[in-house]
Amino acid sequence: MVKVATIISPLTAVILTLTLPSIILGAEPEKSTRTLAERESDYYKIVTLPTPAGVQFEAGGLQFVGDDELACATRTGDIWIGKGALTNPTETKWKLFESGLHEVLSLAWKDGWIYALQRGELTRLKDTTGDGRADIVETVCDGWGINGDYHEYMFGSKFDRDGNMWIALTLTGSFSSQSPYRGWFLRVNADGKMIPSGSGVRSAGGVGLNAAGDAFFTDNQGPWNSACKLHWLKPGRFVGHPDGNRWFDDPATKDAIAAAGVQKPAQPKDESRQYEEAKRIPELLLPAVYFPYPKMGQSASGVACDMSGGKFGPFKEQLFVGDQTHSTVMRVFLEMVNGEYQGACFPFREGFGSGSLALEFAPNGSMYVFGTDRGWGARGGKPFALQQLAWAGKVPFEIHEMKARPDGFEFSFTQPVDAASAGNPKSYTIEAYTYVYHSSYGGPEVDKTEPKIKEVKVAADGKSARLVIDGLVEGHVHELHLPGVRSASSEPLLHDAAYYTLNKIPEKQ
Amino acid sequence: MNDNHKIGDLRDGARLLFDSTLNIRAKRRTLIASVFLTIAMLNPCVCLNARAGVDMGEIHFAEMNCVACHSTSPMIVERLASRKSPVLGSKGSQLSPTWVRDFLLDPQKEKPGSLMPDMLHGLSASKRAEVAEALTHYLFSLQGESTNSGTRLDLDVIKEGGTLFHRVGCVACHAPQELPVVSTVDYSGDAPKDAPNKSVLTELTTNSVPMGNLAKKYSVETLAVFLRDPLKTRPSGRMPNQKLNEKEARAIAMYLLRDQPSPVSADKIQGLNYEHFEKVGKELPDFAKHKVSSSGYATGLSLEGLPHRNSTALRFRGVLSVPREGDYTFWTLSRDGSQLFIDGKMVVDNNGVHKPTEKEGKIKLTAGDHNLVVTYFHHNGPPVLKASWAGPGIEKQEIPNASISLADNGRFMRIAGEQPFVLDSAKVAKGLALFDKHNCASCHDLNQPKHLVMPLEKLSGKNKGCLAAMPSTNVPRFTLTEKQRGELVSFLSKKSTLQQPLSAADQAHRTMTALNCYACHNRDGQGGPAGSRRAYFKVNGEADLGEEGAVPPHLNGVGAKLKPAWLDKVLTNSASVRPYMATRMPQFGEANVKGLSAALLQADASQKVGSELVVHSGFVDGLRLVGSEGLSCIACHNFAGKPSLGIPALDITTSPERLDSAWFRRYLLDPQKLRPGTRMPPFWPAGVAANQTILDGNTEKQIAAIWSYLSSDKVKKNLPLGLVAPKMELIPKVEPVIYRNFIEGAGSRAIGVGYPEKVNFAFDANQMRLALVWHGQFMDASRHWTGRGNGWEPPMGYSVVKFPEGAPFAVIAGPGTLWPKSKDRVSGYQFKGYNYDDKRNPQFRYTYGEIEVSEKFEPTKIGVKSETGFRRRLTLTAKTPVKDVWFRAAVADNVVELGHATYLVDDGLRLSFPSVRPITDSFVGPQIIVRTTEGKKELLVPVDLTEPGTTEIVEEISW
Repeated sequence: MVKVATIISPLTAVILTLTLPSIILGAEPEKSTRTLAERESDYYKIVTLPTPAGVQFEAGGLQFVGDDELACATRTGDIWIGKGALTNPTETKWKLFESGLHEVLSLAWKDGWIYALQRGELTRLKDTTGDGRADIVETVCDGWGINGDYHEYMFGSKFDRDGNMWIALTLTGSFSSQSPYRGWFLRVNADGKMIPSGSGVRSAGGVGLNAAGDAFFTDNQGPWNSACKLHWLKPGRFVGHPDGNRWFDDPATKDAIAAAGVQKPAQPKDESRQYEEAKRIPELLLPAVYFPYPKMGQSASGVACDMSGGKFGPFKEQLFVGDQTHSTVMRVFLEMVNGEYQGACFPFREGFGSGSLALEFAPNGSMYVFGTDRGWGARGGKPFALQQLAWAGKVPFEIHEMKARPDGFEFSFTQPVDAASAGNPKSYTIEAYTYVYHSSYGGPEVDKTEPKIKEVKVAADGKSARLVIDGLVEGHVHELHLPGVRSASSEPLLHDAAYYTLNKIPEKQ
Repeated sequence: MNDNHKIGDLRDGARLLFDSTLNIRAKRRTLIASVFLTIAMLNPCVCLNARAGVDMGEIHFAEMNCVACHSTSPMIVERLASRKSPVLGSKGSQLSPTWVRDFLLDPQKEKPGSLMPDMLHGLSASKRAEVAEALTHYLFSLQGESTNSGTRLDLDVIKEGGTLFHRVGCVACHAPQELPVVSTVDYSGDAPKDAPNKSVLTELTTNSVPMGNLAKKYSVETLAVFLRDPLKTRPSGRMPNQKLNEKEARAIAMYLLRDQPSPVSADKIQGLNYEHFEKVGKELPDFAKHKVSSSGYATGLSLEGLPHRNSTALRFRGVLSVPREGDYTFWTLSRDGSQLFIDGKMVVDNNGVHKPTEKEGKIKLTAGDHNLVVTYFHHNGPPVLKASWAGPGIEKQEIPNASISLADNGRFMRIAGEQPFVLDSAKVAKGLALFDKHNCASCHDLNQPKHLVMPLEKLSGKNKGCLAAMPSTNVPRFTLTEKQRGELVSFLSKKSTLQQPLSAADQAHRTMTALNCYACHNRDGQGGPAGSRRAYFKVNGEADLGEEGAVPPHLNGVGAKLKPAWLDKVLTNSASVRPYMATRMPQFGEANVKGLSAALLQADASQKVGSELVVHSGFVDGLRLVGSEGLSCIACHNFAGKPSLGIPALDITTSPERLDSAWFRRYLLDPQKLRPGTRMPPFWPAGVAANQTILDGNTEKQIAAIWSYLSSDKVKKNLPLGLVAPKMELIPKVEPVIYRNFIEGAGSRAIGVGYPEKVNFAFDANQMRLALVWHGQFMDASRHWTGRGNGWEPPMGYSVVKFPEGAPFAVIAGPGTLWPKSKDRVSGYQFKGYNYDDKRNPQFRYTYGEIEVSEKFEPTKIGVKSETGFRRRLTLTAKTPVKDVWFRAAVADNVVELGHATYLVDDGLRLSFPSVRPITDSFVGPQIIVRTTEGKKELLVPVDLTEPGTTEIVEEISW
């Protein structure tokens, strides 16, 4: 039996993209020795911003608070405002707006107030005297528990269309919930009222809104979570880790939870599969996207949506997700199938200076990435980094979207493809697997199968390819590589990997 | 249902344990008593028949020590590695004579599962009693006088023993006696979260090694001696040495024998209970919250023989016998502070750091017993403590020891059912002859001749002799089931296989089975803590290590992982590298593990793949990789005895001594593969280095560099970057500095504010209270700003004054109404944040019901000494009148009014309320009161909100 390579490393991927097409197409071998990061930089450039001298400038949260002013919140509790961060990033001038806050990991902005999510509370701050420093530090909401444990941190979203901020609270000590609402997601509405919205969070890395205004959070590999994932924060649903469910019964919290209409899910079975458990536990919502561990990343973090209308390149309204350990930004395409989100993730950009934590789109469509590696190491190597990622104006040859079809997948591409290579099933590899759903820390890919690509139909305009596949497995991640696909101008894909989390095979229309 | 059927089910230990549907609890006692048990049968995960050469019959043959009588070749003796019987005589354990006699009469009754055969089964009842009695006298004649006068019961020690028994590994083999502890923060990973249920204990009893009737067998002292070094009397290591120190062994012994104590003695026992506390400050600590360092008995109120120096506190507790009713005066003379309480009332308050000072107090006492508590702490100088009294007919004198007796715990533990035992020389002589006659010497070596019977080679392998259903009179009767008998017969029929040496893998499996290594370790799919036992495997302290911190490592391929010398060190020299793991790796005795490391090494040789790492001299790249500029291994791993920045994962500087370098390389390349479930992330996923800077991202060079660095003898002098966190002092230079974080003593939503004037306070935004004030340096942020930032940081300066927990304001209808209790957060309050004034001084805001409160602190020179303190302004605004609102300024042991609305709180804190209206003839409103509730003094300040509007309280704080 042929064993499918389970890990296509970046290096192997490079080798494959260089060698396979040559074999398939009989073309001259390319003699590129450029690293992936170097090739990515042809399309998306990283510019490093200076940070205040002598300051432990660790991410933190980001928020543009004016045309050219970027607010940065740090893990040591400062909020700095950088003037010129947009127009002249390498000359950004910093001013300390406030300090002494308790590890602010998310920022938002509304009606002239900066909203800062500290560990203990959501706070809003304002400068009323015009000296550039906050004069009012006002508690908006502090309805959750906190007990002194390092792991009781939290991330929040920007305000959604109804004025809610969505917040994901990590567990105590990363394994259990020892303070009210630890392991929950909740929303704080425009009146500052806290609405418990669902249980199941383990170790969040970021919360963001998609183009439709729905909130998503990233959760990290650990107990009851074998690989990092992106999850829709749908009120009333259970997102996987059962320890926070104790608050359904606790006198301190149960009335508020009942008033919010959230129902207690059944205890999931250990050593099971999430797809199977979801059949039994109606509240259990499957992840929209898994980030296969460690192929895609090891610590999924901030979430941001490209609403720039094309200023950031061809990936309009797609989500971008950081990975702290790999110091990368990944890309996610989601579609709604059967009323729930699912989709695919793709490598997008590596080589950031520190562990990417916060992602923020600027008014001009560039992305700011704020990193830290304290306590949780990162490849970038720097203790912290604030960087701008700007589109260079050139469209890379990439998978644009990946959609599930009743009998396969459909890829669209950012550039027309060469019909011969893209139409050849041998230009693709596929395998499918899922993860163990269990109380132990992390878990391997299991239940592997090898679906067969029977046929690939390339659209007349060359912008998409329809894969007809035998053996799609509902509930499995479908990992595809497209090493043989070439653009019309014979370019290989910049990134040829796609991981689709197929919770539901769409029905035939 | 009949017993035979049940016994049939029980015969196959492995099957029994897999089959949870068996309802065997009802008859458990009798069943266990009638079944021959070996450790191998008790372990649910070990399937012995799965391996050739390691069959059940051979295990039985070895565990029953058959070769003690049936001689065979030295080679086979060595292969069998038979279990040796307990040592008797002067080197044996001191047991109760009653127990020994009863055990000889019916071994299974006294110790279910015992491998001691019944030697007296052929005798008439009266003859059996006579023989057992004589043997007992003979055995005790060898031991010498035993002077066991009982042990004083100590509930604290019993509690500690219970904790140890359930944590250090005893319950890996023995049945737990209590449900697993679920701590408030459980870092043991996926221990079952469901509420533990008592049926767990019953269930675990059925697959545990029974301990028999210990209360009848041992005294606390003799059991403690046995637990301290079980191998001394039971040399075969089936009961291993659990590395208990003397105190621990005694605590576990007292715990296991906790049913022994006799009823409370009518006689008073002179003395006092004492507890000793360490790391106390410059005053008596809050004893309820401080951790007890040690405890015991003192003969009187004296420091002699007790730990009492340098930041140490003592608390004595006892009963004072008062001869006559009347007024009594008590004194304490101490350096430094002391207090004396009678029936919970403080009579003498002599707290604080001071030269030897005597203070007195008076109390009216009835004749009879009164509870006495004396507390003491020492800061510096020669320690002094004396307690005196005077009263009707008593001149001032030190309280005599004769007037003080133990309040509780004054009970003795004695062996259950113990009867007087006087050696009878005639019985001794008879016992000696019987010892020989029944061939006891074959198993229990007392330098007496052994009587060998038919050699192993000639055993027929039929149901005869010991294996007969009813063995004849002089033949030992083992308690065997039909299945076990069958297994032995089958083994004997193929005994020629004993000539063939065991493979290394089988040898390792065989030893691990006999010693029950599988109770804790998994190897090749067998063993490891399973089912409800898992919950007893814990992490020490708050090490957030999950499963890896709680459960002993698997031993798959351990022969290819560990260096043989290290393996030997672990097996025979108590080496261990996981201080965070509560379960201890026991010591089984060198003779019993001899060859195990070699067998593992050979068995796992094929797993030793991949290249060895070559140590080279240039360790700088390794140093960079390990440190924070590289892969930051120290983010999780302890290093050279120094704590990591985050979780306390295994100290990686132990790697070169322990690990095969090829294993180290394989592990770094794919941690999950060699250790599924580890939290160690891959730093070279699929061989590609995460760090592309150091050594140009060359995977092999990087791994070799780390190995070389760790192997270097210069490691300790060249610590990786980021390991030792320098202090990060927050210094208020020109304006106040705020620090919102986990500040010790100020709650999880603490807000520290430090001022350039070198005074500081911390506000608790969970309880809206002033929590701490202190002088000097503000805060060190390094705990929270390095690594993952776990835990509580205390103030950096000095003279830290702690204010009471609880709400600052309450509506109190009358002086008898208690102040509302509050736990974590106070109800009815909401924190609102703060506004800065033009000097960046924050004004805190919160609401109490409908009342809006703000408060601000200003550093101010206060009092005659003109020391810097705080002027605190509390402003309350109510739109509608609120009656009976009080501000609680202090809760303390002592509040003394000094006049001018100024109060001395305990010794060091002075509170003054200049804004409170002076008492005049015309003013009849409420005044500041000091009241005593629940043994404490409360300082309550009235808040005038009887008219809508704003009222202000000014409080001056100096300390």
